[in-house]
Amino acid sequence: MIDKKDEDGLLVEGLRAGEESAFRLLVEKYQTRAFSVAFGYIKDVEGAKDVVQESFIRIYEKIKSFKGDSKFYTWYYRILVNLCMDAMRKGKRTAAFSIFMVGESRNKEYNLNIRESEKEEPEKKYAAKVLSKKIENGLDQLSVREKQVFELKHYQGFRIREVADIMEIKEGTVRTLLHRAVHKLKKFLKDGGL
Amino acid sequence: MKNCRKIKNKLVDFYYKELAEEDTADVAAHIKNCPVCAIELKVISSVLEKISIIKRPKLPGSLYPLIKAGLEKRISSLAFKIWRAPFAVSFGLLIILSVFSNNQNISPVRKIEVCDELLVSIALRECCKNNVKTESLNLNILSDDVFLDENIRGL
Repeated sequence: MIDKKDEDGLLVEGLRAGEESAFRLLVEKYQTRAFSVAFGYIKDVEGAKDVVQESFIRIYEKIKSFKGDSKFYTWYYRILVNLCMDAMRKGKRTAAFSIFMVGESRNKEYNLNIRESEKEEPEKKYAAKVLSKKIENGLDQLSVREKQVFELKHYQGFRIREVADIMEIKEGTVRTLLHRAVHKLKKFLKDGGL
Repeated sequence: MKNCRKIKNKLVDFYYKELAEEDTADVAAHIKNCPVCAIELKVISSVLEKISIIKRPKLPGSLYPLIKAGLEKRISSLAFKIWRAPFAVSFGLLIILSVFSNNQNISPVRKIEVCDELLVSIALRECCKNNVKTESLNLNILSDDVFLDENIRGL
């Protein structure tokens, strides 16, 4: 059985050799998580799709420069995160850093993913919206780097070491940023009576 | 407790199961005996669970066709750029050449640059013979003053 590392290695070699099937398999393997990461930054379904599309095109173009010093997926997510940051800076797709933006027509698919319980009863739906709004405000209290670390760790489930590789910072820095983020959120939610 | 500060710094990592085996055992043992740290862990867990109330959207279908189309577009656009480059250079050269040749043709003054004294004297005599005014000639004659004086005077 091929493990994850070897599988990526084989796909990368295939892509270097110009095999379309290798490229397709890499896209299919990483696109879901990539989209989720991109959405965390862009807050817009179409915008996130655009960024993911661009990230894979970059992979195709730059695969020969990937020397294999790091793991393929950290290299890939680094490219993705940088593209997300560029998109955010350009402000083409998002007006504000708002993780829990709901109710916009462009994000219909996103709304469908809100927990089932929210759809069941209007009271619960309302309560979830209020809570979402409060959490959103809480996340706005975080610095950009705290948000990045929190997004990759909490929502994407990367290991601390992986977050450090993607963001090109030390593990200790990731831990510090994560601790700060959690404690700021704790304070914010506590002050808000949640 | 003495260790509380140290343990509290590890609670987030403990929640995410990011601690080494030994540290995990230490924190678990500490929490059993320390209600303050146990409450702190409960609060952190509660905060992080609340934050997780909304999930990220799921990708609606594969992006591969979109990516492939984008890639093909990029490649064809690059090929066009490569094809366009020599064309652009040739076109530029043509423009420069036409401007240069126009400049030569429409110049009100005929330009002659000569270094050879013999050629200059021939040119001057030809001008005399054909009644061409020497003022219409912009002569840049690189020769000694005596030669110039003699020839100009002779016209």
